[in-house]
Amino acid sequence: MIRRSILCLILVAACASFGFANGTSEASSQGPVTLTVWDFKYIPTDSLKPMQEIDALFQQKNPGVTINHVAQPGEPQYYQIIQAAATANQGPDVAMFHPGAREYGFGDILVDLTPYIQDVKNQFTAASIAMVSMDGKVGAPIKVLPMTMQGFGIYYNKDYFKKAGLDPEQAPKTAAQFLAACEKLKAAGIVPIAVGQTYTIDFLLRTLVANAFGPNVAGLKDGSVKYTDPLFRESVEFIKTLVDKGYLEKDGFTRPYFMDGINNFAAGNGGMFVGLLSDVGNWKAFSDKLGANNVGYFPTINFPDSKYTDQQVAQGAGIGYGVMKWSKNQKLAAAYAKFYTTGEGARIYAGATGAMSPNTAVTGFEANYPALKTIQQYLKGSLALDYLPMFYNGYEDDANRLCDQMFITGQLTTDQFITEYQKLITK
Amino acid sequence: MRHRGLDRDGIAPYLFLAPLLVLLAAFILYPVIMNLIASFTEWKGYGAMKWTGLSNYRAMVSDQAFWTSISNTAILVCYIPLSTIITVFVAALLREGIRGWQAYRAILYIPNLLGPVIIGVVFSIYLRDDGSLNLLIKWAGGSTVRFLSSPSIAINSIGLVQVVWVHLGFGLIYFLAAMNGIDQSIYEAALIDGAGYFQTLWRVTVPSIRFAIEFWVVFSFIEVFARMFSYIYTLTRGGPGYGTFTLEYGIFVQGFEKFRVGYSSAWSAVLFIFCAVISVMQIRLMRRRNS
Amino acid sequence: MKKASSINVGTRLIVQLFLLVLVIGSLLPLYNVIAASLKSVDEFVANPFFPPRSPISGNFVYAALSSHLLRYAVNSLILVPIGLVLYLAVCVSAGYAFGKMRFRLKRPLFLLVLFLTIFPQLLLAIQVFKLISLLHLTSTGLGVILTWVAYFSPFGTYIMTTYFTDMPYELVEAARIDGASPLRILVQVMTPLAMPMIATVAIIGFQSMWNELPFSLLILQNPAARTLTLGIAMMRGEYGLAVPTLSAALVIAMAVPLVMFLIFQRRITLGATAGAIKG
Repeated sequence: MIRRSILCLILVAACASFGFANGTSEASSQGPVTLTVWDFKYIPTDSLKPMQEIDALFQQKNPGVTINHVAQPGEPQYYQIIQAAATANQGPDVAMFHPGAREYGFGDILVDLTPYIQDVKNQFTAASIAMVSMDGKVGAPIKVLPMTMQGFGIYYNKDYFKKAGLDPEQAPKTAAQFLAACEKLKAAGIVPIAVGQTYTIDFLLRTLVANAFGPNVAGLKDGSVKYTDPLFRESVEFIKTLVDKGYLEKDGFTRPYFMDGINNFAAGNGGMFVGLLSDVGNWKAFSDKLGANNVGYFPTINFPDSKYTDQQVAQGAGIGYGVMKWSKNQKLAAAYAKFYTTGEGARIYAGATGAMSPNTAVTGFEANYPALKTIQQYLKGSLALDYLPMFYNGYEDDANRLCDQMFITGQLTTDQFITEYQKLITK
Repeated sequence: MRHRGLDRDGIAPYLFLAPLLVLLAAFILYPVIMNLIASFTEWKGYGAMKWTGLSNYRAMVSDQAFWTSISNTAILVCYIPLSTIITVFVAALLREGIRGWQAYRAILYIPNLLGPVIIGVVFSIYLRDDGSLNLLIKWAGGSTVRFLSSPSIAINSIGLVQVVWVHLGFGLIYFLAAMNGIDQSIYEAALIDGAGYFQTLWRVTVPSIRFAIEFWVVFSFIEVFARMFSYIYTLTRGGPGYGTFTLEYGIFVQGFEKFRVGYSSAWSAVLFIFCAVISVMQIRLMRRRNS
Repeated sequence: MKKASSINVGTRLIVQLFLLVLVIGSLLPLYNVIAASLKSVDEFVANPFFPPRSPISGNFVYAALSSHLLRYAVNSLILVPIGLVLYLAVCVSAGYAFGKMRFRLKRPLFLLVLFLTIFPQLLLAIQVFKLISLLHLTSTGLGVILTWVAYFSPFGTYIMTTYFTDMPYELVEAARIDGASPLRILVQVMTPLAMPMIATVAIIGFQSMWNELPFSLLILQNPAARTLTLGIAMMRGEYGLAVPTLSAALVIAMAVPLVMFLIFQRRITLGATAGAIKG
């Protein structure tokens, strides 16, 4: 009796679990079609609302199509799941990617989208097209359509500047001005630079690298430009000074950059913050919380012997959508990606999130946001490409660990740091 | 069908073992072997495998991160004696007729119950430089202790929280059960002889549960080498720098973040050797106990 | 159970104090999580430590609904018990075979099982995932359950084997003389006798499966299928959540094992103290 009931139990268990949440996406070739999209921004604290709006619009324009938009976790789990999908050779139709090394690493599971965007190609900035082409080479297959462009810069709280006795309209752009501003903020009891994890240093270093090398940043890849350059050394030592003098909030390095760090600055807990241009933690997030007229911006810090000044470090493309090779609805999937990156879809997205679109036809938000106006001026005038995303997969992780060791824990000397940092490129 | 001698039970045992053996062969044995093979290749985890001979091993030996991971794992191993001593000590305490000892045992088990993911996330918030524990410390007059942002302290945070504190709960249940098997009369004799608390502990209790302690130590080794990942992942991601980067975590980073599965398998091979050694230790212990 | 004590009353008080300190130390982080879960983001930035002055429930609403934690909890509550049943079936039958049956390959096979107990999930994850996808079991309950049972059974088998080895042989002999088949002996005689140990193994197995991360992450790609543990771990991802929302999620995640613990607590301790755990 017991034996029979145990056997039954096992059989039932096996059947029940087999029918449980079965399968990923399957699109039927006749009748209604379901397009599965994987995204790491489809969450309420990020882009959920605008994406729902855009999806609804897409479904309206393409009757019979249902969008199955799946919220996946962010990096690095996101790419683990993509890797797993690649191993199984099945998964979504469309997936979000970071153009650059991430995209190139998965190049062999992505569809060449060049034929689908011939009619809109010249809407996109040259930088974005270059970045989404395989290995960054213009003319190579375009595997991801760019939805945003990205970049970094320094935001400051104008009210706090006033309180510390600084001119709120004068951005402290030179090294001397910057240090003086930090000192004044500190004296007024305000945290000079609010911090979130090592990203603060990571992003700041990249703005300084752009200023050191200007348009020659690309030379880092082929070795014509090296980190042993004295201007890079100067940048490293400058950051070290910021840490040593306590201008960089020491207690903030264990605070997660995304969300907690951003909320911290938006709540008014710091004079300055190294933020992003797109995504979260950008001009819109801070303007909405601190007041649009209260947010100042400048792209980088100028050293007296810099050849270049005010370089705005930017990535041609921050995130975008790619179509997977195993998709049974490649044409539709490509249309979806196109919908998000051009026309109405792109407009909705940029307007809602503050993401900067690399599509030049998507404009018009500067009216209410002075900070955005400032940023756009710099982008037009002195853009320097950020080459970090072009290095190998996982580069940022290694670079951040080195930054930890150099600036936060003091385990490395400047020389050691520079040697190790240079070594990373050739890994 | 009756066989004589060793095979007295016919094929019945094999039938009982079949599910286990099939699962083990497919889910553990095969992956372990494939992993060893992959360590000699360059592979993304999908697609083609390119044979590269010993180059992964050569790269590993010259990789500073590898040696750091070994030393970090070694530091964690040093917490095993501390964990054993504290656990046995507290277990012995609870046996002294303390009122409500079951409640203590139950509450102290909670960290273990919640699992490494929850504990890791909780402590990643709690131990921050601007977190609650530091607030307490500052309020009491101290200065910020960089539990998670100093590499030398971070690895010790992991040792103390996971190796000592979390395992305490499970250890209490385990050792209390083991101590339960000790003959009471020995204690009475010791009391009559005038033995104090610590003397009894050292001369009577500990020798009586020697096997339990030995197995606990082996269990702790397994935990340190092969079961720390979820905890490190949620707490520090192997940082700051490479402060909490252990061998197990390194396998994860190489294989799942950089997608250099071949290289990651070389690290796995090293971990495999450690695990094999521990396994042999465990088997030897079992043989001794059975003899 | 009470043993002759060698410490006096005065010292006993100190001991109680010491244990109380341990308990408070253990519970303090948990208090923090609960307190944080009731604060709004702004309040948390202003008042990280003390109890909330104006508690809100919004974080819980978000965590339970928008983060789908309730659904994940349900998933875990379905998958883990089913996995547990299979796990116990495998461990008990294998444990009995190793512990009490006689066959030539017993020694080498047992050593093999023991050897395979140790390997970390990460070492196996990629190939395991490949296997699961070959069997077309990605994102299915069966896929993840098979993996769990396969991975955790060696340890469970080991424990059951030691228990069955220690069991007196007369019981088996008696049943054998009665002409019972091996399966009959296992199910009708051995299993009831081993209940205390089975309870212990069940608890270990439950905990292992409930908290398992690497395999679930790779196999359960469909978010509808995710487990609670997976949900929590993913909240620590790149674009993380602010502390209060994360804390609310943690409280929900903690609630389930804590409630189960309270219900089965006596079972846990009974199982452990039934003299069954030896070295």
